Amino acid sequence: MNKSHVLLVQCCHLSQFFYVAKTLRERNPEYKVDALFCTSSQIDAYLEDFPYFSQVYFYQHNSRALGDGLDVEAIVFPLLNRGYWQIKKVAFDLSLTNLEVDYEGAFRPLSVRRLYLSRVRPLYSPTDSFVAYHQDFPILPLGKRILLMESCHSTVLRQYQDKLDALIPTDSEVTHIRKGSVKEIRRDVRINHFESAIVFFSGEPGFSVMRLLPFLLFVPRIVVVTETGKTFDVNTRSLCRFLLERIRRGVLPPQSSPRILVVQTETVPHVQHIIGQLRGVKLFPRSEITLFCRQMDRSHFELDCHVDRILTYGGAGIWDNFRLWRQIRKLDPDIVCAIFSGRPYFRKSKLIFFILPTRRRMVFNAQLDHYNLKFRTFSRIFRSEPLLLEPEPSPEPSPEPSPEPSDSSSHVLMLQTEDPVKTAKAIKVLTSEKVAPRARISIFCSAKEQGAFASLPQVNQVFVYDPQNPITSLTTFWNMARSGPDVVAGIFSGRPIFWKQKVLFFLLPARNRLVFNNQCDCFFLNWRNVHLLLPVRNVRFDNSILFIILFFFRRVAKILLFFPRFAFLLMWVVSMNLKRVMSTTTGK
Amino acid sequence: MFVIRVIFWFVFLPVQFLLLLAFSLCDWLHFLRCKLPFPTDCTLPNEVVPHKLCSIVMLNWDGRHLLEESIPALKRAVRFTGNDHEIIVVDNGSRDDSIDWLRSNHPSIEIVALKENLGFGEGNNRGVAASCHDIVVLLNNDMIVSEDFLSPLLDAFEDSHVFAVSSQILFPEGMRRQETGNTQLHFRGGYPHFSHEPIQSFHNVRAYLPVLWAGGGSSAFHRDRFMELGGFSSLFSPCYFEDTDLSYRAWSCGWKVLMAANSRVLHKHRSSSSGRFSSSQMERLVEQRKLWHIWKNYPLRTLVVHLLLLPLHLTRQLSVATYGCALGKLFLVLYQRICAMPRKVSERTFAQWIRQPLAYLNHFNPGRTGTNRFPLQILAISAYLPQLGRHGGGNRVFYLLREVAKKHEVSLLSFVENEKECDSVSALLPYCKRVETVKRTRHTPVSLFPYEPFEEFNCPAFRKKLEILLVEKDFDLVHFEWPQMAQYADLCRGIPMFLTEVEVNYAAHYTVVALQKNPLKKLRAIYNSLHTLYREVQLCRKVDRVVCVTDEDRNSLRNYVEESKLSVINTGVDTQYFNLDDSHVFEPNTLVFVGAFRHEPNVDAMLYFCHQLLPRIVKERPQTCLYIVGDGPPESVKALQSIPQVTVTGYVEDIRSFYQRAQVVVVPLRTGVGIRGKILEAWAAGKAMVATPLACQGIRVVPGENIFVADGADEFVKQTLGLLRDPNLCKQLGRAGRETAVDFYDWKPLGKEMIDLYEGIVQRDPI
Repeated sequence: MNKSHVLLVQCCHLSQFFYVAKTLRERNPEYKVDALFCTSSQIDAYLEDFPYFSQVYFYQHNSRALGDGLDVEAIVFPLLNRGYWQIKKVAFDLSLTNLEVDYEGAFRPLSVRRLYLSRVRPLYSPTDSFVAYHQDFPILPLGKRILLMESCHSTVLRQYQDKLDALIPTDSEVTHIRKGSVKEIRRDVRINHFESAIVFFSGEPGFSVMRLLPFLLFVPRIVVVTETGKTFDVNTRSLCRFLLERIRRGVLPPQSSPRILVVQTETVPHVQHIIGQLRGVKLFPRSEITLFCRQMDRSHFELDCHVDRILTYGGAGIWDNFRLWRQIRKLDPDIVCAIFSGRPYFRKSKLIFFILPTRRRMVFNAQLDHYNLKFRTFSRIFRSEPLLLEPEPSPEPSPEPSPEPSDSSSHVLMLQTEDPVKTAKAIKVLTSEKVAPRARISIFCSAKEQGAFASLPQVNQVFVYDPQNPITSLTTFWNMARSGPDVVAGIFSGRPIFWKQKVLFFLLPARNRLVFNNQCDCFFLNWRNVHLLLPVRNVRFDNSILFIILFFFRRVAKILLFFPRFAFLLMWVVSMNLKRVMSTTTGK
Repeated sequence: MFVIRVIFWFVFLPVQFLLLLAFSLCDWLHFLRCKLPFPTDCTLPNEVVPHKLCSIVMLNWDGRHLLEESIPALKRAVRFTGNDHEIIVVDNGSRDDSIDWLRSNHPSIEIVALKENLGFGEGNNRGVAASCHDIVVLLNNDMIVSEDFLSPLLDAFEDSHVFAVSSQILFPEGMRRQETGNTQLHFRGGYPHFSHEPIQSFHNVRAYLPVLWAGGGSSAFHRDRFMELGGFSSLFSPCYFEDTDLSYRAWSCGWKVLMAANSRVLHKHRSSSSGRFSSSQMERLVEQRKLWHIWKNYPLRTLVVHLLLLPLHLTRQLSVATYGCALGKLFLVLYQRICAMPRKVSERTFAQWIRQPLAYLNHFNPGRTGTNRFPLQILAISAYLPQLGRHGGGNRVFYLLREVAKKHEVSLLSFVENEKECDSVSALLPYCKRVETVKRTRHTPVSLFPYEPFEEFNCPAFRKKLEILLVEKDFDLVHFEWPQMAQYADLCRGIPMFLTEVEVNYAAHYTVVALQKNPLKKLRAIYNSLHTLYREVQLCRKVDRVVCVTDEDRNSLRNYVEESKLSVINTGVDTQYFNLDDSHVFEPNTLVFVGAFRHEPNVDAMLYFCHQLLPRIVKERPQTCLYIVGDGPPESVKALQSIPQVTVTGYVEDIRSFYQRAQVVVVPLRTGVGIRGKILEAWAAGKAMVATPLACQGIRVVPGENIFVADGADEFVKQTLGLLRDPNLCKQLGRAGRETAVDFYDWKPLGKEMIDLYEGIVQRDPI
């Protein structure tokens, strides 16, 4: 190559461009290299650090205007990037000798085909030495008035303090905004016109307002620091690329020591188990754990070395609760954890888990596996699964009410939906030790059966209706509803009798509905087992919804298809007999 | 969550339609390409390759510590075969001293050293290219092979259609068995689920059964076919799904991918990929490759469902990001779809073979019973457990099994109604080689139509059990007891099938018509009869031989089923068992009825007798009493106990005590068909009897000699009273009845008839 005066066109990123310029200089120290930059902004600062060029030009749309001032023998294109098409085209149109150069600084003649190919893909892959160079390629120092948004955990900021020091000039004026001080930004914005901003995209949930703020303030230059310490200047393309990479590759888990608030929503051993897990190596070994638990369990947790602080509830009075709420708010936890096993206890604690402001909610299921609570995982908290650890008998009764009518105050209303013998048998099962031995039982039956049920020792009250007198029946219904039963019970044997009482079974207000089958086995009614009420024997379907649909579909089909099918069957039988007669007569 | 899915579905629907268009276009191009005279077809002939020698290719990447364990085990396995198999280690750009270690410690092993890691697929492709034998065994470096793992793999290539054979994969004790080698595909909701299913008992019985893919880490491949298919596709680089894709393409070309359960490897570590990728990355890799695999290979019919339902999965297994990234390689996928080999076997067909080994065996080896095998292997499939004293049908099946088992080997698969019935299985064990029971708890509807008399016997668990039985053992003959069981006949293709019509159901339904007075109910009864006929005929057509119990039953089927298929073998009675002591004394004025009350005609008979006939008899002879004996009386029959003269016993252990005390046995049946076991039992017990003409159908009755036949209520009452008044006549009638039972209804000759029928249909000469 005899060209000793060349023009290097910046048709790649600055780091690539300066690397190629450096390589060219090292390989060909005798060359005179000029540079054509596509933008004039920030270049001066770099030119001070990298004085490789004898002459510097800036991109103009008109190649003729550019060519007038040029005195070079060849144009060199580092075709290392797909973009920069305008500058490539303008430089190519200068009609001088066109060369392409790779990362090693080797020249090749540039054809039109290669130029167009460079629009589709980079023509050279980066070398290892370039990658190392790129890692250390400096970002230009920021301006005098800098907005530093601490949109990450405080430890992340400490981790990359050296990077920040390199970015922030010593004489600059830095406005440091932390999570608690977002409101102060109003004042600062009025006073300061920020020249640049540093914002952390550390991959942690939360901080979205803080991350968005520099963009809303239209700060002229924004630098993003990622969780790996990588920094880049924000423009539309780089930000989109960064966010797309986030979607594709995900986020590395933060290596910070978060403040965790554990809300007690299960028994002591379960909570202790999850605290142990949280403090384990796989999760947050350096975390600071605060426990929010019942007063009665405090003594158990005080012995736990993993718990840094305990807050208890159970105090009386509005003021106590308000003070407790303020304490929790002041904690500003990074993560709030709770167990959702599907058991209907600790309802208030669970509510607190949801209303506490935090950036991340972590849920442990019945098997004590954990997941982050998001929109797509929300339905999992309703799953009811067997608990991993057997619940220990609590020394004191739980303040949470139990849904089963096992305590003496439970009121069970039994509706007579079968013959008296079977109903009496069901009442016997109901008062057995396994179901509700101390429950107060009322029965709803017809006036003529009143004597049979009133004599039963288990029955406390009898509501009677008179089939001949609907007005008194309505009064009875009103009285029953007012008696406030906890559980409504009835026998569903599949026989089509007592259908009005069966309808009443669903209408009466109660917390639970207990169903007895034909064998007087009982179960609490829920949406999963509702299909068992249907009068079909020997049917067990896993999917109750499917079964119910199928059941009613077949019932409808039975009505609709009866006559068409009948006609078809008749014709079929006639044709079969005709065929038989024909074959007999023809002797076949 | 549901709302999000619906939103996703609407948002992504246009994209899915575009994809569908793209795939349709590709299929057209593929079609044109196949029509053009390019060498696109599989050109390899289906010939048996020499399968004594093979090349073993082991891929290694930074796995010296793994090689230290796996190579000695591999060498032991090679020595065990006694042949000089070639071992090649492909080093995939290891940064440790694997190559040096191999060269110094195992100089006989050939090493293919790659400069950089080319990924799992390409690394193996290089190894296969370097191999010299017709069969290539690909192994991962963390697979510890058992000593005898090689022979089962190589022997499979005796079948000229085999492409690959996978080993059974074991895991060290205490580790969850993540892989087995029994690879399957389930396509649920338009999304595929690839899995390693557990090894079933039949895998150990059958040497080779089909699987979806042979894992690239422990399988033998037909080298030429491997090369013909282009080896592992680079689309899936660096890892995962190359082997699934390759095996799928092989199945499409009509080549088999099998698993040899007798060849075992121990997957000791899972280190290479898990060290390189995080779990979320691995999950993403797998999901992407899953999509590419489907888009590249699956027929348009499957893709339509998949693409339309895919947005619904975006919140479940698949994230939007993974889906977006998968679209990044769409053009490459489309290109490979166009360049694919023409399909010879449809996806639906081979998927069925893989899911149902029985379908595979029926297709490739339909007449798989051995030649000149004796005794015959008979599988009896029964709707009710054959047991004595419960109901006539059960008695019949029990006795015939006992007789047939004297000469042939019988296995039994039966429904049971409850756990208690399983206790009766022990009575069958002396006669049956194997007894399997399935509890009848759940059924799936077999048709949309309103009346389906046999659907309660359509049980997936039973079907599964039958499949397993048929896969595990080659039966010479299958006998369905009761017509409803013939709905499982589709599983027994290629095997001679018998069906016993214990009662021709449609005819039994038709007898109800005459009793109905309400025209609507009459219409309904006719409809039920016709519907049953239609279904019954369908079932009879599925089998090779229909055994009826009476000539009347045969005649009622003659119009609808080929006459040559129909045979008659009567029901018998155990004359020894019912031979009461001559000195026994009956209780005067005692009537007995015996019947299983799950059979509706028995219920009707008792309600009719107790409400209409018994009061008239009691009026004449007030001291008369009636014993209603039989299993499972319903509430309506139990309620008859309120009549002072009636005793409902329910099930009794020994029925003979009631026959002993009976002066007259009554059989007032008005409905039902078939042979009445209760008449035969009463005859064998030497009892006088009054029966309706319908009850006597198909039995050698001589009215007035061995039985009194009474048509109509008046005559029935009259005949019964006549017998009650004359004890001598009762004795005379009883003696004649016993003679008839001994002469014509002993089980031994009937069993012989059944054996002859079996032997005739399988066309074997009895020894």
